[in-house]
Amino acid sequence: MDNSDLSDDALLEGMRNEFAHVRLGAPVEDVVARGRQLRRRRAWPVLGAGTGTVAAVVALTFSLAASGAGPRGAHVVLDAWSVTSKPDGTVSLTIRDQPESGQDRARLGRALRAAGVPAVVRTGLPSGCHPSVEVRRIKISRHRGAVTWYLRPGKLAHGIRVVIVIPAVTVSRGTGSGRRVELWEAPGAARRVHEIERAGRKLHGLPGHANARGLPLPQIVVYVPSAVCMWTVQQGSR
Amino acid sequence: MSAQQASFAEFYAQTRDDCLRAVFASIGDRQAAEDCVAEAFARAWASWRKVSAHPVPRAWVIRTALNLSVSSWRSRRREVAVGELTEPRGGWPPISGSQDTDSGIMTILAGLPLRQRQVVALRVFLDLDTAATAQALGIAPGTVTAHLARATSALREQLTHAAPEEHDG
Repeated sequence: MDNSDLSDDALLEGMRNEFAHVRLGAPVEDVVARGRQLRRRRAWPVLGAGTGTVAAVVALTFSLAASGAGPRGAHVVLDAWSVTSKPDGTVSLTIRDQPESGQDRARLGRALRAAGVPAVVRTGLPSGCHPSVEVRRIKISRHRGAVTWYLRPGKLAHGIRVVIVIPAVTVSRGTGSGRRVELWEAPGAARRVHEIERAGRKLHGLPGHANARGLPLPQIVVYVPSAVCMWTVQQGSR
Repeated sequence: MSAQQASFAEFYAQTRDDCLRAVFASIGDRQAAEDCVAEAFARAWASWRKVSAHPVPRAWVIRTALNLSVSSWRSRRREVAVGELTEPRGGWPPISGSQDTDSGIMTILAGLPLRQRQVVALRVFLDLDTAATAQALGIAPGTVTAHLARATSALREQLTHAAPEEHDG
């Protein structure tokens, strides 16, 4: 085809066809739930500009914690991370490759717990908690941009604790190729850990300039109740 | 389901894909586009009474999503600027090829200025006329016309160069 003969309409129609398979997968229920959260947040009493952010976080917590027993599900999308409950019970957690604020970290823990994932979010492994020699270390991938985990809280054994480790960030030069995401698996929990589905399989690229920062990547650590570090995890509040 | 929610659900079902395509074509990052469009729809639902009365609700969603993507990019830009040599000099982050979209067309789009990409995206995927496009982007109708003319001209030229040469005999 000689493109120089293309009319404007034909040209734009061609473009339209190129994108025909791009579809938004988010179910309307998730969008509506998120919209309700925004409404509730808006309805929260105005506490002044200085406390606006705090109010937003409190309102979000309220909305996530309100009404009914058991996990309510969550759809929270921030620059740093996203937590989305899906209709099949899966919870997707995406952590993007950028510095985290302490506030976002705490909020992430709340969002995950609201989604039914027994999670705590920390800046590092609890003191005294080191993977034993029996711990299998699974390298998920080298990647850039962001990583998404799919968790099935309904299939996690009672008492299991998922610890998301997002190291405190110091922005420095470095290469993305040296970083990786790891899933640490406690020996007694092998079967359970396998129920955490498709860890790290879905990778999302962000613009290239974000890739070369020397940010440590997040980790997920799964503890069984008998693990020596469990107590530390429980006591080591964020 | 309330009538209001049913109305929103219908709007969402009819427009979500086109809105995603428009934003994706504008910013070039599929995941960021999905996040921004989903959040924009959530905000639309949060203010559905107002948005449903908007002359072109789809344009409201697109503009919100684009604003969200700009905010997100700005925050990332600030973070990168701390100690990174590879930060962009400014302007929009480059469109990268996507695994599920013809990278050729994405590369050509990447060569267009942001405004031209936005105008093309609104025209192509939302089929907005000049006035609605101008309103959605907050620019003058004449500017829309100029951007569209330049964009289509550039696209045609790029496609002409990108097209394989055909030889007879």
